[in-house]
Amino acid sequence: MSATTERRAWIFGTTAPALLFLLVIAYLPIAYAVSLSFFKKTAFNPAMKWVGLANYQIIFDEPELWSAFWRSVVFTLGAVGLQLALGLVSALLLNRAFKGLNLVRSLFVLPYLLPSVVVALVFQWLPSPEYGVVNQMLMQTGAVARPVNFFGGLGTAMWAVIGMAGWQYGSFATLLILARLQSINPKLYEAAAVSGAGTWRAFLDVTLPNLRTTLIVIALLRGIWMFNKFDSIWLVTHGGPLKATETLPLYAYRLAFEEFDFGLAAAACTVMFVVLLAGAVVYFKLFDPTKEIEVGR
Amino acid sequence: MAFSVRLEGLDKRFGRGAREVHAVRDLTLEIGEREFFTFVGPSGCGKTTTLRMIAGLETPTAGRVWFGDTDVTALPPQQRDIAMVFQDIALFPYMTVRQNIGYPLRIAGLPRARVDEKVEKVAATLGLSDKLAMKPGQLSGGQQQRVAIGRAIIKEPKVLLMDEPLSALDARLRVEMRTEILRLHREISATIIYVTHDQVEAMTMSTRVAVMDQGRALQIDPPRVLFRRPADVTVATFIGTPAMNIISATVVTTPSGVAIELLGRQIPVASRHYAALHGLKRVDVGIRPQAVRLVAPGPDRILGRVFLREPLGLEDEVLVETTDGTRVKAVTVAEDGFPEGARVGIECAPREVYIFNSESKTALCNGVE
Amino acid sequence: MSRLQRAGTFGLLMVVLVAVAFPFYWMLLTSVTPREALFKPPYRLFRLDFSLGNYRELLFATEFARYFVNSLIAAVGAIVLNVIAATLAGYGLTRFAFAGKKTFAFGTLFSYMFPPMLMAIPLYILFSALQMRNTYTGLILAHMAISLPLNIWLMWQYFQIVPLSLEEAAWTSGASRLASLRQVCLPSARPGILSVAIFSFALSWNDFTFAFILQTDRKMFTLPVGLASFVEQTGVHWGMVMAAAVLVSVPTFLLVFFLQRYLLSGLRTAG
Repeated sequence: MSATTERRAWIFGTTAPALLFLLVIAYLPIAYAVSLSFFKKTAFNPAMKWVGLANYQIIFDEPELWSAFWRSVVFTLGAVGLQLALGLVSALLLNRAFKGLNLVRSLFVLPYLLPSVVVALVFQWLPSPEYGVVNQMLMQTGAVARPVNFFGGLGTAMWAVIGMAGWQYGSFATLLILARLQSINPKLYEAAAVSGAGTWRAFLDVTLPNLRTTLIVIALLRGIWMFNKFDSIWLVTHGGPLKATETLPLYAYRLAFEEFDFGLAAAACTVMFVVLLAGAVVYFKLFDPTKEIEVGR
Repeated sequence: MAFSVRLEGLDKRFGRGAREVHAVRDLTLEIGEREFFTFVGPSGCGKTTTLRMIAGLETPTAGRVWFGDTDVTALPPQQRDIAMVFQDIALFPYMTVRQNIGYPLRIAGLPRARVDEKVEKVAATLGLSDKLAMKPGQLSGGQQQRVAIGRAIIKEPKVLLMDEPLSALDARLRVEMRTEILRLHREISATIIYVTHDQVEAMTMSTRVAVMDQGRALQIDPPRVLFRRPADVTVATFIGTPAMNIISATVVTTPSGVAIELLGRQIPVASRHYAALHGLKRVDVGIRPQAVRLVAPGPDRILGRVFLREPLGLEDEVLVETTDGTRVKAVTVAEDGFPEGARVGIECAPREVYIFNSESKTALCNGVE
Repeated sequence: MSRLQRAGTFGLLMVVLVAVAFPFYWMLLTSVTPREALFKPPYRLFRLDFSLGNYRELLFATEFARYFVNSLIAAVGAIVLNVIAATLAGYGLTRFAFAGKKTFAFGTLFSYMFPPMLMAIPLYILFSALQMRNTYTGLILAHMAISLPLNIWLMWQYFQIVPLSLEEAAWTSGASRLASLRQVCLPSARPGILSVAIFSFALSWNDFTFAFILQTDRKMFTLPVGLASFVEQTGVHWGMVMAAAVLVSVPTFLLVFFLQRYLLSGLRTAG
C-alpha cells in the first residue's frame, strides 16, 4: 500500500466511527425532528401527512406555547442566576487555604454527580408537607403556621424548582469559580493594596475582571442546559401544579406522550432548537474552539 | 558498516499561498561514511527539517535522499536503517529503562534473552547498568538522554541522527555529554548527522559542519576552515564567540597601492588581493575580537575610549567606542591597564583582517597580507 | 480582617456547607431509619436506632436488582463504545492534517449542546419503527448521543499533549504506526481514556430522559426510571426510596473518587 493510501486509510479509520455515531444518533434525530414538524403525525396513525407550517400555527396560536416558553425563560434566568450567585459567594468564602479544603472540594462535587432522579426524590422528601423535615423545622421555629407545600403550591412551585436546580449545579459552579479564583496572581492583590484599594475595590478591580470569562462561560453553557432541562422538573412536579412549572421541554413531552401528536411536539422541539442555536452562535462567537486545535502532519 | 548519505536537490515547503514557508531550498551535499557531520545555524534555518527528511519523518517537496546507492526518498523511517535521538528526549514514560533501550530489538523480533544481553552491554557503555529497572521519570535529564542514546545505538544503525540532543540539558551537563558523544562516535561505526544551534558544539565535535541560513547551506567545511576562511558574513559572524566585528570601510588608492580605510586609519592591502577588490568602493571589514589588540593611544592608531568592560576571569570582553562612534569588541587579558573610560588605541595584524563584499556579503579576502 | 468579619465569614461558610451537605445527610439518615419511625413525624435530626431493613426490603422485595443489572449493561456498553470511538477520533484528529477539522470541532461541540429531550422524541419514533425500543442496543446508542461529543473533545485535547516525538522515536526504532499507537500512544493516553470512561459511565448511569422515553417495558427499566416508579408505587415508603437513592448514587461516587487518584498519579509519571 502506498504511503498516501495508507495515510488516507488511517484518517478514515480513526475518524469514521466517531463521525458515524455523531451523525446517526445526534444529527439525524435533530434533522428528523425538524422535518417532522412540518408533518402531521400522531401515535394512532402510522402515516404522515404534509401540513407545512400548520403545526407551528397551531402552537403559536395557543397561549400554552408562549407560557411554556416564558416559564423556560424564568426558570433559566432564575436557575442560572442562583447558581452564579451561590457559586460566587461560596467560592469567595472557600478561597483561602485551610486544612479541610480538599475534603470540602470533594463535598462540592457530589451534587453534580447525583442522578437527577435522586435529586428530585430528595427534594420531594425534604420539603414534603406531611413528613418533610424542612416543614417540620419551619413550624418548630414558628416561621410558618402550617406546612408549606413547596412543589405543590402555585406560587412556590417555580421557586422551589429553581432552588433545586440551584443546589444541584450551584456547587459545581463553586468549584469552577474557585479554580479560577485560585489562579489569579496574588501579586495583583498586593499591587492593589499598595495602591490603596480596600477589600471591596480590590474585588471590583482585580477579582471580577479575571472572573468575567469564567462567569460568562458558566452562564452561557448552564443557560443552554437549563433551558432544555426535562428530567428534574418533570420528576418533582410533572409540570404542575396546573402547569405552573411546565417549561418548553415538558410541554413538548406532553404533546408527544400525553396528547400523542408528534408533529406538534416536533414543532415545539424545533422552537427549542432555534433557541439553542442562538445560544450556540453567541457562545462560538465569543469563544472560538478552533483556537485550541493544532493541525497535525 | 556505515555508508554515505547524499542529498540531491532537497527542497521543502510548508503551508500554502501567502503563508507558505520555504524551509529548505534545493540542498545538495554528500556526507561521507563515518563522518560526524553537523548542521548548524539559527532557529528557522532549515537544519531540523533537513534532518527529518533524512530520517523520513518529513517528505521532501522535491529532491532525493540517498543512503549509499539506494534511493530512500520514498521509504518510511521504519525501513531506513537509521536511529534518532530527539531534542525532547522522547523516552516512553510507562516503560522501564531496560524496556526503552531494548525497544528497537523487541520490534525486530529478537528473542528476550538476546535483547537482555544487548541491553546490558549498551547500558554498561553508557553507565546505566544500575538504572535498568527505573522509569524515565525517576532519572535526571542527562541520564534520560543517555537512555535515549542507548535506545538509538542498540540496533547498530548505519546512520545516527541527533536533533539538538543537548539543548534540554544545563550548561555543565552539555559539556560532559559532548565528550560522551565524541567517545561514542569513536566506538560505533556509524555516520553521525547532528543538528544544533550551538556553534561551540558544532565546532568541537564535527568532522565537517554545514552552516545553514534560510534553507540554504552557506558553507560546508571542517571546523577550522569555517573559522579561518568563512565564505560570507553570516558564517563569519555565526562561528566564533564573541561574534566577529563587522565594520564598514572604503577602498582607497594610495601612493603605494590599494588600502582599506576604516575608523580613520588606512590598512594597506597586499597586491595579490587587488583583483578581488577591483571596482569596489565600499566593503565590510571583519575582525575577530580575539584579534583586536588594545594599545596606548598614538598618532597612527585607531583611537577610541573603553566603553564597557566585562570580566570573564582570565580574560575580559571589552567594548571600545571609536572616535566616530563605532563600537568594536575586543577580548583582552584581564588587567591590561585600560579601565572603563580610558583612552585607547586599537591594532590588529593584517592577516586577521577579513574583507567582505558589502552587497553580496561574500568573502573577498581572508587576511590582507 | 477584623474579628467580626472573620466570624461572619466563618458563619456564612458554615451555612453554605450545611446547605450543601444536609440533603445527603438526610438521605442517608432516612435510608437507615426503621419503617415504623417514618410514619411518626416529627423526626429527630439524629438517631441511633439504625436499621438496614429498608435496604433488605429494597433488594429482595422489589425489582431493584434487575434495574441495577440493566443500568450496568447500558453503562458498560456506553463505556466501551465511547472509549473506542473517542480514542480513535482523538488520535486521528491530532496526528493527521486534513480538511474539515474546523467543521468537526464545531460539529462536536454543537452536538454536545443538544438537549436530551430534543433527541428523545425523534429517537422514540425512529426506534419504534426499527423495533429498537426496549432494547439494550437502543439505550446504549441513545446514551452515546449525550456522552460522545464531550469524549471526542476530551481525547482530542488530550492527544495534543502526548508528544509526537514519542511516536517518532518508536518509528525510528522500527515500529509501524499501528504498533506505535498500541505500545506508545495508548499507555500515555491512559488518564484521558479513564476520564472518558468515567464520563460515559456517569452520563449513562444517571440518565433519566432517554431511559424513561425509550424503555417502556418494566423489565427493561434502568435504575433512575425504576426509582421514579417506586414513588408512584409505594406511596410514601420514603425509607426504601432513600435507600434506593443511596445505592444509585454510590457507584458514581466510588468510581470518581478512586480513579481520581489514579488519574492524578498517571499525569505525574508521564513527566
